[in-house]
Amino acid sequence: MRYLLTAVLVLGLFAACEDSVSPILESDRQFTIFGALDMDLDTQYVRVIPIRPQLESTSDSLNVTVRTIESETGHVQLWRDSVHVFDTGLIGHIFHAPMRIRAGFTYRLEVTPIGGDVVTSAETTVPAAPGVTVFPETVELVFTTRLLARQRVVWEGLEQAPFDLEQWYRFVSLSDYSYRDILLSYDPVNRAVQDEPGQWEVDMDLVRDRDSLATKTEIGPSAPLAGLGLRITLLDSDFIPPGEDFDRDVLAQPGTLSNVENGFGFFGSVGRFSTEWLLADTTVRALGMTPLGRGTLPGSVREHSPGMSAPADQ
Amino acid sequence: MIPLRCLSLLLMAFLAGEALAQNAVLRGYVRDLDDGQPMQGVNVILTNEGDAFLGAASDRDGFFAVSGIVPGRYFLEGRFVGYIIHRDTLDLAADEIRTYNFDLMVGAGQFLEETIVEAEREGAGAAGLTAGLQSITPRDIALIPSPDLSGDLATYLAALPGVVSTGDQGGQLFIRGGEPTQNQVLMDGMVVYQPFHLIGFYSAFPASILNVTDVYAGGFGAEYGGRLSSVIDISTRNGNKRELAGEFSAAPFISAGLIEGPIVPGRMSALVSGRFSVIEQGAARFIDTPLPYDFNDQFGKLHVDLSENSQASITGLRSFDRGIIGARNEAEADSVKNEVTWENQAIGARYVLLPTRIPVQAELLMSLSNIENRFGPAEAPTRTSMAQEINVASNVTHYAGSLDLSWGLYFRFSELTSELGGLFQDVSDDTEFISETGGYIRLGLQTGDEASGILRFEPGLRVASFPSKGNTYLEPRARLTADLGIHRFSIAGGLYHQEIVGLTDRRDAGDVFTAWTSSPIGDVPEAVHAIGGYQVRPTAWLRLAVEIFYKSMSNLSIAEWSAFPRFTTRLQPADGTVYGLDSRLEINAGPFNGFINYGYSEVEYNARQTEIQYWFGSSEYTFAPPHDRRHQLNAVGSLSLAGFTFNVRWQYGSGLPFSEALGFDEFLVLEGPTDLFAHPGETRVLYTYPYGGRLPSYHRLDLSLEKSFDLPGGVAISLLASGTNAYDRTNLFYIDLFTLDRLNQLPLIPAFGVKLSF
Repeated sequence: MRYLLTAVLVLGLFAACEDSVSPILESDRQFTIFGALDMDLDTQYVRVIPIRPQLESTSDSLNVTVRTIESETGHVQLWRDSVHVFDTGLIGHIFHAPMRIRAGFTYRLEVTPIGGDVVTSAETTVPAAPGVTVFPETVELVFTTRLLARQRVVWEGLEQAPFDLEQWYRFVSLSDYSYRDILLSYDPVNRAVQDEPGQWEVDMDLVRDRDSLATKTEIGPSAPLAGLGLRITLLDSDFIPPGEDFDRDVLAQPGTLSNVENGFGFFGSVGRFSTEWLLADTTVRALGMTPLGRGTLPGSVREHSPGMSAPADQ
Repeated sequence: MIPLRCLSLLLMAFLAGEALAQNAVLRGYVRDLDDGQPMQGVNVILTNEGDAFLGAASDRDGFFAVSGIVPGRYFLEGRFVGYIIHRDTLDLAADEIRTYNFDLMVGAGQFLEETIVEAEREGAGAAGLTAGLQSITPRDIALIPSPDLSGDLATYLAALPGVVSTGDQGGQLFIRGGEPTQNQVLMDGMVVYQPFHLIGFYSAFPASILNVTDVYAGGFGAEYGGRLSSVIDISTRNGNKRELAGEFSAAPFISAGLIEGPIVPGRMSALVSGRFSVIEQGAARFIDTPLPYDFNDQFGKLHVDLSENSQASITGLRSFDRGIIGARNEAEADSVKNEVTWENQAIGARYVLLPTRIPVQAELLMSLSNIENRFGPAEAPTRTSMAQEINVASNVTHYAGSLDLSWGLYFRFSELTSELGGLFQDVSDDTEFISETGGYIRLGLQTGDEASGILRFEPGLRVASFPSKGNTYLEPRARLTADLGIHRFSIAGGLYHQEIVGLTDRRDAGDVFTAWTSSPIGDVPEAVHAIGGYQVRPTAWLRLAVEIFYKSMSNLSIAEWSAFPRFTTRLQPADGTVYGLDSRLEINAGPFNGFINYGYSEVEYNARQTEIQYWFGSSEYTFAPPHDRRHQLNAVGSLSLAGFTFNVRWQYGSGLPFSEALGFDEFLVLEGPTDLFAHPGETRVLYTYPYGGRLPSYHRLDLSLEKSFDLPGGVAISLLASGTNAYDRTNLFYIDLFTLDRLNQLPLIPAFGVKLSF
């Protein structure tokens, strides 16, 4: 009987011990951050995603304080949450702040849970303004019928290839005397060629541009050409994916292209810089356009702001 | 072509030697008088008035061959424990090749100790492990408690150290680190792709149809090929050639029936068997958890002795499984979108001939095997995979004294079709046709006697050629066994390739859908095996065995480690190593039979994946795959007293690896300035290091009590009471990372069964 009782007791002990196990580990990494400050914007946005223990996201509000600190001035900017419901039904917390960023400045983003002491943070330095040289245009008539007209623009002091390049021609509308910018969108970024380290050249084919402009109907054929310009978009120096390729499968690996401490994701910045200049009247006429009446001026770079339609710095 | 030429030259030299000999050869089949079944392990001994002592033991077909006999008069004895000795006097002439078949009749007390005339049958008994080989008979299977009276090969396999099952559900058996699809399962020479049923106690092989099953956990000889890890070679019973017999059983898991009998008495027999699961109507009612499993299997065999020199058989097998792994409630159990289904079909013919003028045994095999896997609703599955194989093979064994030479040729043609819905993005949905041809040669050299020790050496070479892929492989193999008194030493090793592979997404323990395809990435998977073992039998009732093993595998294809949750993945190359130790202790003392075994093993995969370097710091990473069970212990006992048979089994397994995570978030591709309001992102899982966690250990006690009653008219009825997981241990099957639901193994399931046999 004693053996039987012992056996029952042992079996009971075996049955009783149920092991607990959890596949979700505790961690100081609390948030994933995605977003980039943009010189083009006067309101900045960043998405803060709480790292959660379950697959589905919840609509719970985020009890966090989000702020940025401008390192050069110490200016602190608080951000506000806006809960956004995407088409997929997913809920996202997109924080926003009214601020403009400045070239070469460093911004630190901090996400701090209210009542918590672990700060998820990331830092980005906005690309500094590059130098630019606009060389005089070259105009040549081949066999008296074929016109060749080119102009070189060299950007200097770039840490990496420009992310984007936009080119526009500015006309004066004869109906209301306002400026009209015509954007040329044919692969301009591919026209930037690296000359030397940090130096990228755009070799503009003015004849091809003219042919493209001829298809635009927004302006009359006699509208005077008031200038032309280039805008360059630069990503910050950390904004380089592995292999310089934005491969989704690679970037999805946690920690890839991430500069977030105590979290995941990426917080970057985008610099936008532009230059504008005028062509010589003779060149404009040779291209079959109407000159405004002034000669070539050297280009100068400036931080580009949205909606700007003023002539280039002179 | 050079190896094939060498093989031919060796063969011709061997045959020439045979032709010059003057000695006689005696060969034949030994059968049980009661039912005509072939008897394995019968010692056939020849003596004369001088000091001649020759002999051989019969194989799984009951076949024996004694060669190199000096012409003259001999006294023949056929001996087997528990049977009356068969005696005869034979006059053998020079160059005579005599075919001599005889039957043995059951009779107690004839002799206790068998006279050993050749190396003891390898692998027999729980501790009979010899260089990776374990030989299993229905008698062995009967030791394991089972929830029904039909018995099944799967219950015994799961009690072997080195054999890992990830759970009671799923039908996945990993043998010494190898994936289930790296195990070759043969039944009477036919390939059976996925024979294990969804509930871990059952396979397509009920004990009642089995004769002998040889399980090579590694180091298998040149006669086997096409799989990387192990071989389960099943020989089925012939039907009763004397009288009609049968059995019918019912239990909460399965109901079974078998009928066998003579078609032409003494010459031709048939055996048919069928089993059907009744889990949903039976066992599921005892527990709260739904068991949405439906499976069945059918087997049939026709066997005929064409003459005293030849026999033929036709075997057919079908098995079917359908179920939902890890269903937690009735709603999930009814949700066909997660339903997995597979169906095996195989039919084969075997012809065995003893040519009258040549001392050889020749075998011709032809078979057609088919497997079909589906995932999702039956009418519109989301994934399907089908493999079909035609196999034609011939095997010939020459006998020359202490030497035997086996060789064979084969041709296989496979058709593989998959529609995976993007599960494995590297696997195309096209139909593949793969042809394979090759051959093997194996030499068996035995020397010595019982007094000085018996040494048997089996070197071999296999040639496998894939004309459709332009590949040819040479696979050297070797096995060595040394019997020195009560001690046996054994080693084995070889090189192995597997062109047709089965892919399963192991990131999800509940996913058992298998896609069959030709090697999808890189080179053909390859393995090297090395095994060393020692066995000792200090007394007649006690035996101990210990074995160490090593496997190195390369060019494996595994699911890529990705932060995107399930459903789709790419494959990545991986290499693997497995090493470990098996130890066994077997006791056979009167009414008690039992064994304890302990196994230790370590399985390690090394994978390369470019993307992962940004997460773990290196594009190469090493991890323990989800079947890496380090420690296993099994204790099995069977006691027969007063007409009752009490079986008990306790098993322990250390925890299996599983993947942990930091949680979930959304992932956005920031390709420069991005409108955050326009991109919701994709949900991803923030995995930590692959399979870095360990589940809790597993242990379970199974019990059964059986009693048989003889009724008038040769009818017997057996009753069974059993308890699976007798102390109701809450063993964890897996945790669903995406729902955090805990899926447990089977709880305590009491069962009662009845069997009627005649």
